Amino acid sequence: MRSTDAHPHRDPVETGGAGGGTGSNGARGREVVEIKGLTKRFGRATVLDDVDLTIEPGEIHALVGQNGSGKSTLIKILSGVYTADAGRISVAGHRLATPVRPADLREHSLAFVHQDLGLVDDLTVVENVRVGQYTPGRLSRKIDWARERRLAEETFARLNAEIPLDARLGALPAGQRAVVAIARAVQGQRPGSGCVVFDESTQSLPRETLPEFYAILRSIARSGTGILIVSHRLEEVMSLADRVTVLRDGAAAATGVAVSDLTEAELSRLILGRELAGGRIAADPGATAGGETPDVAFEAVGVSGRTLQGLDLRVHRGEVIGITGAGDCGLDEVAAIVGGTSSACAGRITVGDAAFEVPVTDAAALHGAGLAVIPQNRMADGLAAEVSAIANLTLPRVRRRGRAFLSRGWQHEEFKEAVATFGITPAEPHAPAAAFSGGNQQKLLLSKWLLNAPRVLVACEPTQAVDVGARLDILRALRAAADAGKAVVICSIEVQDLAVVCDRVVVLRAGRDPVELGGEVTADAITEATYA
Amino acid sequence: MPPHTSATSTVAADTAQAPSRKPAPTAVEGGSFQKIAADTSRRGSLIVVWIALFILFGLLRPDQFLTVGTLQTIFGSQQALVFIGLGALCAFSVGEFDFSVAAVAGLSATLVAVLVSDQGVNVWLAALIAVAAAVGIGAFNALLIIKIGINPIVTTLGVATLLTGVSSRISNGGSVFLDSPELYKVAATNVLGLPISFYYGLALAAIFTYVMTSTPLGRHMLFVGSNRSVARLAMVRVDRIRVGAYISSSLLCGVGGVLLVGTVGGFDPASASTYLLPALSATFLGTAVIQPGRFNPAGSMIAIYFLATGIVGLQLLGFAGWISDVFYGSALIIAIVLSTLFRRDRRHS
Repeated sequence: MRSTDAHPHRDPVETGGAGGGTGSNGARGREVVEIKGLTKRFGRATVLDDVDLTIEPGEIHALVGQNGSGKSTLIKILSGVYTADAGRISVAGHRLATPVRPADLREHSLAFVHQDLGLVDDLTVVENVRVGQYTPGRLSRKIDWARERRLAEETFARLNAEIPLDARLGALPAGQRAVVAIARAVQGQRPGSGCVVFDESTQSLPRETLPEFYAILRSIARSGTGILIVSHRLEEVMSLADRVTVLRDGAAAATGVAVSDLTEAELSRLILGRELAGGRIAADPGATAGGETPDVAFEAVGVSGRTLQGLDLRVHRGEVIGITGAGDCGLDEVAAIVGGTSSACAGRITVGDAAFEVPVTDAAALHGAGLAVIPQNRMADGLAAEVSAIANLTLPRVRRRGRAFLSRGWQHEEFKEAVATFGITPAEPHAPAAAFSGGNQQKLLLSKWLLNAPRVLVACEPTQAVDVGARLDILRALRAAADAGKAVVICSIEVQDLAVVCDRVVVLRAGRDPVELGGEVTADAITEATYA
Repeated sequence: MPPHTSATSTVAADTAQAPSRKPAPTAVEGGSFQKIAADTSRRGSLIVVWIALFILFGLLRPDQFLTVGTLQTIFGSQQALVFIGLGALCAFSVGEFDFSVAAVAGLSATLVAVLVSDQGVNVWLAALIAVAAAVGIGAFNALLIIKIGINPIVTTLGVATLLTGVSSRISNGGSVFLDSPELYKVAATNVLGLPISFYYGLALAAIFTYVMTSTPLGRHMLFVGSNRSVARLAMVRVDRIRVGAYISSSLLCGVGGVLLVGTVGGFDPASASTYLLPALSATFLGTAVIQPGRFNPAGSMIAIYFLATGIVGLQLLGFAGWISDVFYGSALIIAIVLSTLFRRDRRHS
């Protein structure tokens, strides 16, 4: 349904039917970014198929889709990493040559804030903001720091943010770090022009910093700059964006639809191409593991860390328990402490019949007692990117399966089982872990530890950067593990997910005792307990 | 139909289509003929170049190159390099660096000659002392790198220089000689036209390959080499494997030194460093063959004999001694470029 207009920038074509007038300040006229018929193939796979996308001045436009739907390919073409096979990109009415050159991006005020924010912890704020833009003195070739500081200050002032310019970046709280990344992206732009692309930028931000982050985005948009956010969080898209473009299997399932015309359920249906089975994932009534009085499989007594305070937790077989919290509550420490890889902690934990003083000195014994921890950072701690899927899957069991010889049979059986249970695609045992999409990597990681038959499974952010479909598969798998008699603990800031699957949720609170929510746990109740 | 179609003209019509769980576009397409063909050609590309080199030299110098003597030179003269190269491979395959390999072999060779010729020590005892000294140096490397946490490149380069100096002191600055028929017999007995240590090298590479591909230890080494954190969280004893890698590396180099001095009957400690670059070239070039993008013993072996073929051929063409530095140096650069490209390819395949 593409228009074949020969003069796109003289006579802008409205691609989204509901597009006009949705810009938050009603700014009309030429698009800041116009993408037409963008197509990209890798070998025989078409990863982007004739995709259109327009961003108007002053609007917040969301780009959504499952992992592997083509979002990141589109962003990579826009930022010049890939070359498109067909289609054109115009910024502020100027058609860009492909591959897109950094100089063009700068000239036309198209800026990017990437997922990891791209900051250097050891440098100061001003160094981080100005990197790549330093202007040396004409004769001395020295950096004029007074000038650099002034420019950085001006940018922060534009964002209504006050950040100490000489602070070491690593010492800043996460929210301020995000502001630094935004400042670096927008500093070169004339206020009210251009476009900023936020590529999963909220992924690494703690939840409590999000309102501030959103406020900055809105104020940038109000000034007339266009904003494109790439996001997995539907609630974020629903509350923040004006329009949304949905990619599915490389093609646009919706182009520039006004968010006000959609419900979250409709949006997830557009993303998935099918109905999302909603509602709680409850325990299988037939699987009351452990009989009438379920055993306590895991117990934590007075566990504390650097910020974690006095966590008491008792998890029975067959239970799924959530742990969440905001700010300096110690949520990020739980897995390391419980898994025996942290040293700055105190307390006592019990796995099955084995009791351990915290900090645990013998992580292998803890492991042997039946504890499995699924780390938060999938590719840093969970899977080795360049190693085959099957080797990653079987790693925890190779020693147990024999000292002298590593036979292939059981490994292939395990891979088959993982594929059958989780629907891992591609079912290609020797493909390196990096070749799988985020959701499939997470499934692989989950199978790696579930196949270890643990008593207790502690999963950290198991649905992080995972698309909607895989998210449900993963939550169901965690419930199924509990039904099979394991005790499951999920540490996550995704309150929706916790509400869907958990029997109880422990909310950690900075400087105060944790609260435990039982019964029908709702997302609202968790959020309320978090910020109350 | 979704209620919003009236408001939006471009919503794709198939939103209600049945589950479209298509594999991600990054999916590896399994088993296609082209892929297997491409894969095979890549695995074997170095072998093809090797054969081409043979044909080229054969055409240019048919009477000199295509002789038993030349083949014996190529295959019968690289044993020390095989041990040193596979030693370096122990470290590389677990993500460590050991640049002290050549110096360790040099010290070992010097020790044997000096102990036997000057001190009158029994040759087997001397060999044992040399190998034990090598193991001690491996443990020292491991202590500095793993226990204290010093950068392995700096550490092993420092140790290498130190050992070269020590060897030179022990030998009083010149070459050392060894007249030991017993050791010569063990190191260089002619078997099917080649010294027996050639077969030691083959056996060593076969055992190394077996360990890497077919044992839990090899699997653990693979993970320690590719992602230490993943290995640690899977309760692999990472530091033990790293220590083991440095000790095995030095052990192999120590044995290589003993075989070298036994075969040649003498050693110039100053020449030890000339083994370093060929060993590195071969191990890196080996990542371009058999298991592309990965350090592997079979690849290193092929690379060693490939490089020897090139050197011998070029020398027959009349190039002087400088050619070997140029050849090994450029081979190392090409090898690193190839291995980087293969790794990148593996990530995105």
